[in-house]
Amino acid sequence: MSKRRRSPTPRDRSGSDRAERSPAAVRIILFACGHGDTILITVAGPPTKSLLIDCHLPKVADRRRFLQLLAAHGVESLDLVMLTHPHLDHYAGMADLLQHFADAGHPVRIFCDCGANWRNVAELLAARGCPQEALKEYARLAKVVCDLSESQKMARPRLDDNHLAIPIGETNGSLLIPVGPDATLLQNSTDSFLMANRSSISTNALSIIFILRVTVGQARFEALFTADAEREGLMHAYHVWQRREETSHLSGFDVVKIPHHGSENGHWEELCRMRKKSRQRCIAAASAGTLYDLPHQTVRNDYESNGWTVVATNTKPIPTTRTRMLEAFGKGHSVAQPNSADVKIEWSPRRGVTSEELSVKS
Amino acid sequence: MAIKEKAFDFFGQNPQWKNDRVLEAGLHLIVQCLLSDKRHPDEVLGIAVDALRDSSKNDDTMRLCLVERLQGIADPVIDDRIVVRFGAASDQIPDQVYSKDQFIEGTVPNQWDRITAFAIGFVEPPMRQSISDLLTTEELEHVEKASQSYTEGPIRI
Repeated sequence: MSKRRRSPTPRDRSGSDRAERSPAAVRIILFACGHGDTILITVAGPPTKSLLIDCHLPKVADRRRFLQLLAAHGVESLDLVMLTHPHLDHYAGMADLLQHFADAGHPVRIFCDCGANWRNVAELLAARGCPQEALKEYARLAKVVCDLSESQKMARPRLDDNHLAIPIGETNGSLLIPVGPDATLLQNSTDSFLMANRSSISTNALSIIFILRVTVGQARFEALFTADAEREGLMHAYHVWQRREETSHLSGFDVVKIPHHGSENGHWEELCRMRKKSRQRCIAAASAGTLYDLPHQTVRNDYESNGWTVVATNTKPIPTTRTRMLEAFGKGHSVAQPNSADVKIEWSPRRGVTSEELSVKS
Repeated sequence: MAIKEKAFDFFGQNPQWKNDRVLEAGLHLIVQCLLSDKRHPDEVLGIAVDALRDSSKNDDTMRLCLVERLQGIADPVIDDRIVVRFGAASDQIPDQVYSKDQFIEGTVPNQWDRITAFAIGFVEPPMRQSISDLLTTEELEHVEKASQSYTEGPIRI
């Protein structure tokens, strides 16, 4: 007996349309800014919340384009700005951005960093040959942060693995869960550990590592953000995560921001195996792809062979040697390359995780 | 700086290195170190070129070691020792520790460590740099103050 294929009913179609149009519960945009991280996260409300993880916008043109991107996505203000660790490719232009929103009457509500002693960190950076302009930018950020927090426009918590999970929005369905850095390490750093051992500690070890968890009904999304953490820091964070969840068998992540732009020294193979089986997977290698050709091919291979989809802001082969050297030395370290693109990752319960490239308009 | 132009010309004119990204990264790191040096550009660039020419004869693993070691030059000087650090690419190899004299006398046995020594020899010893030399008094105050203005208590985004 032949079966007639049933044509879609209006109800089916409308359901499908609803799925197509259903707003993303989470949106993550990797802003193409050369070698550095500028990651915008929006979590649907009510009310919708906007978080900026790091900022590498050293030039006026970079900041202008970023503000245009915010406007295009309906973001008028930032609820949280996070400095994951004190490296220039994570804080260049952050002071200007904070000041911009304050001047516009929409001050950033929360600024957070890991709480390591700023003076000691500056000494450490200087001792390791950090360029003077990077230190001056660090001092400028310190001034703006202090000014805004003193005027009570901006809360300023410190985040480490001891910090409680932070609710996002009015319900408790969305959480930002810090799992690194190691609070003990930070305590030591404020007790001049950094100064006494400046040659043996990497400032990448100060990276804030956190998990973004968004729950909608029975569906749950979890993304791991790793900043420039190195292998030891990631392993520590994972153990913290296990303790918090009170289980030795975690289900993995929907999205992982590859540590340290995809360099090998931030690579932890175990992380590649922590994926969810039933959903589309995306890996975000934020703003990589300039001088060092990151994410590193070995790192990329490890993720892809474990079933991840790797997305990055460098979408095509990188430029010639000469171009890259000019970029590094002569014409700034930040300008988005013609072959780069912002990347948008979205999650909704119906569609799971999706990603697409957005064209860069200078 | 003159050395920049020389470096750009050099990179652009050597097709054998053009497609070797690991080698380029190593070369970049060497030149980055040399840029802060006071020596004549011809001299420092010549040394960098020689170092990389040698390295190009070896396999990828060794070149990767070069890069990893050069990435460790940010903190090589501890007292009178020079530590050549290996990165994640070579977990099984411990850091190598040499005395400054070994470098000065040219008795460091491994060519890769000699290459690193070139870079180390030209860069300012990291321990000598202090923020009081790099920042104004006012900027130092800002940095000092930034550790004292945290807010406590629960937060909600």
